[in-house]
Amino acid sequence: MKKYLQNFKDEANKLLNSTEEQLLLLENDLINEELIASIYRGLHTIKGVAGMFDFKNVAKIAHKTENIFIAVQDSKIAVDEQIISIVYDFVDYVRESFSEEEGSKILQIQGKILTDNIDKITTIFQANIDTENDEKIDKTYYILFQPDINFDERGINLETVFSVIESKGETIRFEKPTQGEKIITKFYLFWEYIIVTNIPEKNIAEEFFFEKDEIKIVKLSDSNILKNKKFKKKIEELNSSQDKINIEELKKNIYEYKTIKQKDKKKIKLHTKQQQNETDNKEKYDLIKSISEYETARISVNAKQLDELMGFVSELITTKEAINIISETITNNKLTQLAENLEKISRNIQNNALNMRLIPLESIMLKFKRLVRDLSHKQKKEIIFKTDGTDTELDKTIIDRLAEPLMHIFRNSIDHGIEPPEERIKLGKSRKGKIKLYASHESGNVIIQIHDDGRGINPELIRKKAIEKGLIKSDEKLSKKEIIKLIFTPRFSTTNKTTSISGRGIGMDIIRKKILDVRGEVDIDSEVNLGTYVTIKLPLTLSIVDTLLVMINNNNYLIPKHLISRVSKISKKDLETNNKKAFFNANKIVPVIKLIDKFGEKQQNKEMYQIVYVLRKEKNYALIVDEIIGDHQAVLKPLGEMFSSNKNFSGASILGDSSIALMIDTNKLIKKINS
Amino acid sequence: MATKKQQKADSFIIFKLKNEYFAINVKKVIRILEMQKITEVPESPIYMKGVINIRGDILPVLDSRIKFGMGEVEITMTTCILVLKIIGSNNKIIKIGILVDNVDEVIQITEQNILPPPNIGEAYKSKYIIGMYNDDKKLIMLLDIDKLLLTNEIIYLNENKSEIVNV
Repeated sequence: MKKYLQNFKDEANKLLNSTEEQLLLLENDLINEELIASIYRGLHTIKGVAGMFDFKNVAKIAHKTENIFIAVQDSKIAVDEQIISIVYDFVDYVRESFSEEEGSKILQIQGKILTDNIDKITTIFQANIDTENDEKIDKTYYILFQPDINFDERGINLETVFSVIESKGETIRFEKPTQGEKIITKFYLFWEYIIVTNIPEKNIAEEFFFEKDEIKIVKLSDSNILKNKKFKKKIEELNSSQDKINIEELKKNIYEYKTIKQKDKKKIKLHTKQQQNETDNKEKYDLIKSISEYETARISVNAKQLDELMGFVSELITTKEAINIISETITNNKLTQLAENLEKISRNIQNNALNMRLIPLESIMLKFKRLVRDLSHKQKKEIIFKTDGTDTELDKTIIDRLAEPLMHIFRNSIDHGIEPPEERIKLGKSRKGKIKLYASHESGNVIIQIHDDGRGINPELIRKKAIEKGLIKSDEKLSKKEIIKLIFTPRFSTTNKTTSISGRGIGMDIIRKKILDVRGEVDIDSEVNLGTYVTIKLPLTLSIVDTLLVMINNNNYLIPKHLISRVSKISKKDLETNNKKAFFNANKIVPVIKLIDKFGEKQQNKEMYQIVYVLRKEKNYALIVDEIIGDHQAVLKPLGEMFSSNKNFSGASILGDSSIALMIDTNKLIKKINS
Repeated sequence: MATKKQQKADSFIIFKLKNEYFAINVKKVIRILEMQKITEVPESPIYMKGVINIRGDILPVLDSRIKFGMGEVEITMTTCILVLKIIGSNNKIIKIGILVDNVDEVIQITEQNILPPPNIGEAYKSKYIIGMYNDDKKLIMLLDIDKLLLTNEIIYLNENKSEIVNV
C-alpha cells in the first residue's frame, strides 16, 4: 500500500501543479470555460484519489471546492479573485497534507479557515443548488468492469478498485469468468455491479476513473430499486448465471417497478435526461481519459535509481579505461577491436544515462510563477512574468540546487527592482513591471538570464555603502560593473529594511555561492531606471567533467577544462629567476602559483615545467605543474566529510589504472592564496 | 545465569599501535585491507594520510598513531587498514580507513569484565574511552571510535594510558 501511496502522491502532485498552472492562466482570462472545466476535473480527481487513500479532510475540502466550480460551470457564479485565491489555498493545503501528518494541528486550523472561506462563497449560490437538490436522491446504476488482459501487470490493486466502487453506495458485486473470444484481449475475470448511490447523474462517470474501455456504466433507475424485493430476487437469479447481465432485459423489469415508484415519489423530474446518459457518459470518459493519460511514452523513475545507474556507469567507464590501457600494452587485434567496441558502447550508455537525468527548466518554473504572483499581490505591485526557452534541459541535481538561488533573484527583483504602479507611471514606464527569464544553450553550457525592468542598481549607492562597510577605499577607482559586482560580497545589502521577503543582506552572496556550488558562474549588470540583468552560466551536468590530467610531484591531479585558458611551458631557470611571483602577459599581471611547491615533496633535477593558465573572475593565473598528461573524463566522487576542511580539492576521480587523481578546485585555491 | 552473561558479550577487534593494545567493537568494522598505495591529499590535517580506491569508491585513510599522539605508523608487513563505519554529524554514516600497526585478534568481552574508563588525567581524554579490559597478558583500551575520529584534535591517548598502567 505504501508504494501505491507514493505513486498517488506523485500523481497528485502532478495534478496540483497543473491545477496551479491553469489557475495562473485563469487569472488573466476569468471566463475561459476550457480552463474552468480543466480545473474542475483536476479538483475532482484529487478528491477521488484522496478519498481512496483516506485523506478524509482533503477529500472533504476538495468536494467543497469542486462545488464552487460546478456552480461556475452552471453559470451560477462568476470566477473572481476570491475564488482563485481559494483554489490556491486549497492547492497549498493539499500539498501540506501530503507532506505532514494529516492530523496535525496547523493543518486542522488551515483546513477550517479554508472551509469557512469556501462556505462563504457557497452561500452565494446555495439557494440555486437547493432547488436542484433532487439530484441528491439515490439512483441505481449497473457497472461493468472488464479490465484488459495485462491488468495484473499494471500494479493496480483490485481491492482498491472494489473499495472505490463500494464506497459510493450500496452495491452488489458479481465476479464472473471471461468467456469466448474476449479471453484473448481481456483479463480472465470480469465484474458486474449493481450500485445504488446519490452521486448526481452527471458526475457518476467521473467517480470511477478507469480506462474508458474497461468500464461501462448504465443507469438503471432514478430511484433505489434494490429496496424492491422483486428486483432483488431477480438480481439473485442473475447471480447464479455465468453470463453477462442482459441490461435490456433487466431494464424491462425495472420499468415496471419504476412506474410504480414514480407515483410514490414526486421528486424525480429529470426524466428526459436519463435517455441521454450513455452518450453523455461517453463524452465524460474521453475527458477523464485525457487527464489521466500522461504521455504514455514516458515513465517516471525513482531519482535514486537514476543515481545508482550513474554509479554503475562510472564504474563501467573506469573499467573501460583500464581495458584501454591493457589493449594498448598487449598488441592483439581482437582485443583492440573489442576495446574499441566497448569504448563506443560505454560512451552511448553514458550519454544515455546522462540524458535521462536531464529535466527541463520548466519543471521548476511553476514555483516561480506562483512566487511572483503571490509576492506582487502582497506588495501591491503589478508584474508580468514571462519565460522563454524553459524547455532547456539540465541535470536534475543542478535544477534541484538552482531553485534556491533563482528564488532569491526573483525576490530581489520584486522587492527592490519593480516599482509600485504609481511610481512607474510617474517615471513614464508602463504600469505593469516585467520580469523575464530566458534560458538557452551556449557552447556546452546553459545560460539563464533574468531581466527585470525596475529601478536598476544605482552604482553610487553601492559605492557609498561599500565604503561605509569598509569593502573598498573611498578613493578606489572602480568601473561601474566592478561596483555593481560588489553586491555579491558577503553581507552586503542596500536596503536597511529587512522584510520577510528579502533584504537580509545575504541574498546576492548566497546566490553566488549556490551557483558556484554547481560549478556555475553568475554575473550582474544594471542600468538605473532600466532594470537589472542577472546572467547565470551552468554546466550541463555535474557528475562527469572534462578535465586535464596533470602530474605534480608524482601524483595525479585534475583541472577542470572549462576554466583553463591555455597551457605552455617554462624552464626551471626562468621560473627560478628572481623567485618569480608573476608573469607579464599583454600588459597584465598573471600571478604564479607553484603547485609543485605546494603539493607533495618537490622533485629535484627537473629542467622544464608546464604552465596551466586558469581563469578566475576574468583574471588569469599560472599554475606550475610537472607534466601535462592529457584529457580525462572524470567521474567525480566526493572526498567526504573527513576532508571537509580541505578546500583545495572538489573531489577525486579514479583513473584507468585504478589510481586516484584529485580534482583541484582552482577557484577556492586561488581565493585562499589571495587572502 | 550463564546464558544471560553471554548475551551481554560483544565482539571486539584488537589492534596494536606501537606497544599498546586497543579494541573497537566489530560492529564498527566493515573489512580489513592490506596496506596499499595511499594517494596523499596535500594540505590536510597531518593525521589524514590520504585516500584509497576501494572498489571504485574513494575512502579516506587516517593514521591512527598520529591521531592518538603516538608518532606515525611505520609501514611494515603487518600494517593494515581497518575500514570502519562511524556515525558522523546528522547521523550520516561515514566510511573511513584507519592505519594500524597490526591486527591482533577478535575476542569476546562481556560487559561485567569491562573496567570503567580511567578518571585519572584530563577528563576530556577519558570521554573517548568506553572502558578497559584486562586480558591475561595485556591491558586493552576499548575506544569510542565515533567520538575519537570526529574531533579535529589529536588525542594523546597513551599518555593517559601510561598513567593508568602505573596505577
